[in-house]
Amino acid sequence: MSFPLRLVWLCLLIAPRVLLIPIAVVMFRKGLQKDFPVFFTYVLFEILEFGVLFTMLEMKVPGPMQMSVDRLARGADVTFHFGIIQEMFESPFANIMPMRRAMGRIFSVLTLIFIVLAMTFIAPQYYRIPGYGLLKGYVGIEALNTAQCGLLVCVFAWHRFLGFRMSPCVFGIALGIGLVASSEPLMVALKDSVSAQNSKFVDFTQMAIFQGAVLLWIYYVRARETVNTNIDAAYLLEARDWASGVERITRP
Amino acid sequence: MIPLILLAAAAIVFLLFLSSQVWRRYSPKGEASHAGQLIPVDLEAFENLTDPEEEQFLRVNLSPAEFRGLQRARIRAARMYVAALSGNAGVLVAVGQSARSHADPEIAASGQEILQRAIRLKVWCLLSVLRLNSAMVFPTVLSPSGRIADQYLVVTSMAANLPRKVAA
Repeated sequence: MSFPLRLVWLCLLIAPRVLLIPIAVVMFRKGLQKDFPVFFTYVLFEILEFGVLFTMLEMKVPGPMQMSVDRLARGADVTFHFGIIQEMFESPFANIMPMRRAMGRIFSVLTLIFIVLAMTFIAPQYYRIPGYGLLKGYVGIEALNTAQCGLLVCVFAWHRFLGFRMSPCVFGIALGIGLVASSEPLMVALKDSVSAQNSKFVDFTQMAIFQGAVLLWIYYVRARETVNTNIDAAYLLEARDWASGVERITRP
Repeated sequence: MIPLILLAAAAIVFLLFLSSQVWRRYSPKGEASHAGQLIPVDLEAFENLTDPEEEQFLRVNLSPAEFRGLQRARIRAARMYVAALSGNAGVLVAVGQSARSHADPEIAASGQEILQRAIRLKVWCLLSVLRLNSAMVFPTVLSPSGRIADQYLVVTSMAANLPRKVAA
C-alpha cells in the first residue's frame, strides 16, 4: 500500500474510534448512559476493541490469530447491536417496567423470526460462492446484520404506530446502526464484483461509512430535543372536551 | 452473484427507507402528521357492542347462523371504535410528549403521566384489534367482550382524569 493510501487508511481506522470518546463523554455528562446503557457500553467496547486490534496489527501478530480475535470482536459488535435495537424498541416504555418487560419478550420473538428468515435466505447462497474460503465464518454475521435492518424497520414502524416522536438520541443511534448494518451486505456484493486489487477501496468505503455513523451519533447525542409546544393548549382543550363527554357517559 | 445483487438491492432499499425517515422527521408535513385531531367516540355504543350479557341474549334468541352474522357485524363495528380510540391515544401520546417538556414541573409531570397512560392505551387497542380479528374468524368461540370491556373502563377513567390534572 502506497504512503498516501496508508495515511487515508490509518485516518479512517483511527478517527472514528477517537471520535467515540467524546460521544461517551457527552453521554455521561447528559446522563444518557442511564437511558441507553447498552449503547454506552458498546461505545466503550468499540474503543477497547480498537485498542486491542490495532496493537495486534502493529505488533504483527500472526494472521489467523488476528482473524479469530477480529471474528470474536465482530460477534460481540453484532450482539451489542441487537441489544441497542432492543433498547430503542423499548424506549417509549422507559418508565413503564411491566410493559417494558413485555416488549422485551415481543422483541426477542421478532429477533428470532428475522434471524431465521435471514439465515434461511443468506446462508445457502453464500456457501455456493466458490473460493469464499476463510470468510465463510462471516456468513452468520452477515445474516445477523440483515436481520438487524429488518428489526430497525420495526423500531421506526413501532414508534410511528405509537405516535411517539423518537428522541434525537434514539433517532441518531438508529440511523447509525442502520448505516453500519446495511453497509455490510452492500460491501460484500461490491467486493465480489471488483478485482482483488481494488477490494481495498471497498474496505475504505466501509470504514468511511462507520465514520459517517459515528458523526451521526455525535450530532444526535449532542442535539437537544425540540418540542412543538404550540399544540399543548389547543389539544389539551380538545382532550378536556372529549374527556368530559366520556365522564358524562360513565357517570350518568 | 444473483443472491449478492438481491442482498445489495435490499440494503439499498433499507438505506432509502432511512433517508425517508430523515426527510419525514425534518419536513413540516411529517411533523404535522404526529398531531392529528381527536375523534369523538360514542363510548356508550361501544360498551353495548362489547357487553357480554347482550351477546349472551343474542346467542340464546337467534339461530347459530343468524348469531354468527350479527356477531360479525358487531365485531366490525367494535373494531372501528377501537381504531378511533387508538387514533385518539396517538394524539394523546403527542400531547403528553410535548407537555412533559414544559418548563412548569407540575405540567411536565402530568405530561409524563399522560404519555405513559396513552402509550398503554395504544398497546391495549392493538391487542384488542388482534382479539377482535380472531373473534371475526371464530365468532361463536371467541367473545370480543371480557377483557376489552375492562380495557374500555381503563380508557374512560384515564381520559376523564387527564385534563383535570393538567388544568389544576
